[in-house]
Amino acid sequence: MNYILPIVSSFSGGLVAGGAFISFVTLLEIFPRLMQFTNTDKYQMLYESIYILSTIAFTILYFSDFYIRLNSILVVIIGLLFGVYLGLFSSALAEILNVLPVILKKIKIKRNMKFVFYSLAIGKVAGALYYFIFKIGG
Amino acid sequence: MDKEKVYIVLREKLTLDTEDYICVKDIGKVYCLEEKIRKPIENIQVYASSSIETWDLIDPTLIAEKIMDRITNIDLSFLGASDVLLEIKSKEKENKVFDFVKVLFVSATLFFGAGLGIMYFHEDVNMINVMEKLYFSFTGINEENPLIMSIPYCIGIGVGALIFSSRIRSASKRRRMEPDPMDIELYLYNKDMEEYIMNELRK
Repeated sequence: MNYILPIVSSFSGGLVAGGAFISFVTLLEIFPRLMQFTNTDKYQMLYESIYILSTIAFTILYFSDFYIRLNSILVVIIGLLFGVYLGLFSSALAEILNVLPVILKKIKIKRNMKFVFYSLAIGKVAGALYYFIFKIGG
Repeated sequence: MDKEKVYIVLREKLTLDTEDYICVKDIGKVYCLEEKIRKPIENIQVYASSSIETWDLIDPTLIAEKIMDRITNIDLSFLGASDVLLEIKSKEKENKVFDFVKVLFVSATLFFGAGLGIMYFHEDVNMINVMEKLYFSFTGINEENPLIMSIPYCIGIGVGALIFSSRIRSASKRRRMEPDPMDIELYLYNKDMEEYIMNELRK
């Protein structure tokens, strides 16, 4: 009993968190967008497996003290990839909340929408830099 | 003599090669009692694509015109989709290296992104802690606020946002016609609004 209860409860907690994580990403439509952008629809299964594999791997990594010694150039590249994903993620989140269509309609912007996107991207970069350099997160 | 009844059930979408042609049987099913009327109708050519990759529509009037030109004395009815969407796509020479790079890029982004996402979730959205933990996992160095990883991350956010919202630039007209997410969102928003107004007017 001392073992069963913790195992069952944490396993079911993991099931819910994992399911929510994948379903959230499905809702955000990041995969379709990336596949449309790179024209690689046929590798959908590969992408999904990598996604699930990575979720498990990083969860284990989170609870362990395991480490490897990577070159700092690789660390920079990985940092960039983190950012690319989170940039996609946050844009997709704003998209499903229907913020931009409403604003663009209200202020009647039809042409030059690209400037709106540029300013959004620059604003995100500036905000993230501010967060890290001035450490508001503590 | 009675007119023979012919029904054509149209498909919604069709993908075809550049410099190719399609017949009636490619865009839909033909139903007719008389076999000797059905066969010739099925083999009437309705569309020929040029060498440009693009999207196009075939509407039933065009199909009817082509059929009526050849075969008279039939009663033609269309069922199914109202228009057929054509995606004209050349059998591109596969660029193995470029394909590999693209797949690698998407896979790596998803791999590290999913990892960061789940860790961020576990750490109750505290990005600085997550970055410290990941920096330790990757290099074995305990460093407070590792800017070497977080500044590329900040730049990456901009890149990701632009990838998400920018239109595809390509030599192919077909690829350029594909909308970006904002176009779809605006279209859906307008459609919902029009439906709402129509509903209000009906009251």
